[in-house]
Amino acid sequence: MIFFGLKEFGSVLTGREYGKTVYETLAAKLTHPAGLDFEGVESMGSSFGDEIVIPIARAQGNKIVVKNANPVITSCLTDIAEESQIDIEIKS
Amino acid sequence: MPIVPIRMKGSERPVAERLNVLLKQQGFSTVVGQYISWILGELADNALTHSSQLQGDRICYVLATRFVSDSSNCVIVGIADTGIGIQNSLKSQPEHRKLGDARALLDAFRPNVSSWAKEYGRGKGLTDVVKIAKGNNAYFIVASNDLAFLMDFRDNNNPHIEKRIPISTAPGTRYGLVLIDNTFKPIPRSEADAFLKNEIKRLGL
Repeated sequence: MIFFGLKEFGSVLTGREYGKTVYETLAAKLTHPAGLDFEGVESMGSSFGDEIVIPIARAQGNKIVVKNANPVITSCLTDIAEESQIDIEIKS
Repeated sequence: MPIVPIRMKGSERPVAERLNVLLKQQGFSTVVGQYISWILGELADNALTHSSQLQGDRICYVLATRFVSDSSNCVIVGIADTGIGIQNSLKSQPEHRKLGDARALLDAFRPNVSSWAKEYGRGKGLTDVVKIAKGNNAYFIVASNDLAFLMDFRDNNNPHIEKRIPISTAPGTRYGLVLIDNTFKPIPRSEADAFLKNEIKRLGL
């Protein structure tokens, strides 16, 4: 599995349209299964999270592994997982 | 942080980053800034998407002030726009058109309620404000056009919504969110929704 780092997109990741833009950038180089690395990311909004986490998970059996998510981001990811019925494995 | 105008989507991110730095410098725990960034991102996104039909009119303002209450560091974040108001935005959708203004304003905070058509995933940002404030035992006021509500989670035994008289009836939406540098308990959106549903019923809306 390859983890794709998000810190290059900023330490605060918010906004639905920005999420779509980031996903399009990632999609160009994604190979599945792909994970997301939140090292260096302080905060993420739900709208942004919807636009990158869900499509990646959907393309790989509704599962995704993330790492280095702080407690606030973890809270956001937990909601996304519950509502979208995807499995998000959160590694420290 | 004094009043900062945000005119374009994405401009809220450097504002949130700057606020994070300021909060840490003033001794706040890291999580406070992280939650504020989340909320600011959602509310600014809303203001710059929903608040008006004309792209050139869209603007929101942010400010943050620190205060101490019961020996705890607190921050109040004000976010305001000059748009058409949450209730009018929601009622622009046919399925919500017949709602009363007060009901529309509170319904907008429930998950999956959005002024967009049934587009995937929308309708979470306002719920996030409720869940974060609830998890922090904090409170916030939302004023939209001529309506205002306080959502108060300070008393665990009595979380409630109160109708308030808005300070201003100017067009647009204004939030005053108080967060306390204390415990943040992760609250699922479903719990926030249950609270909203019960309170809407209790208020007879």
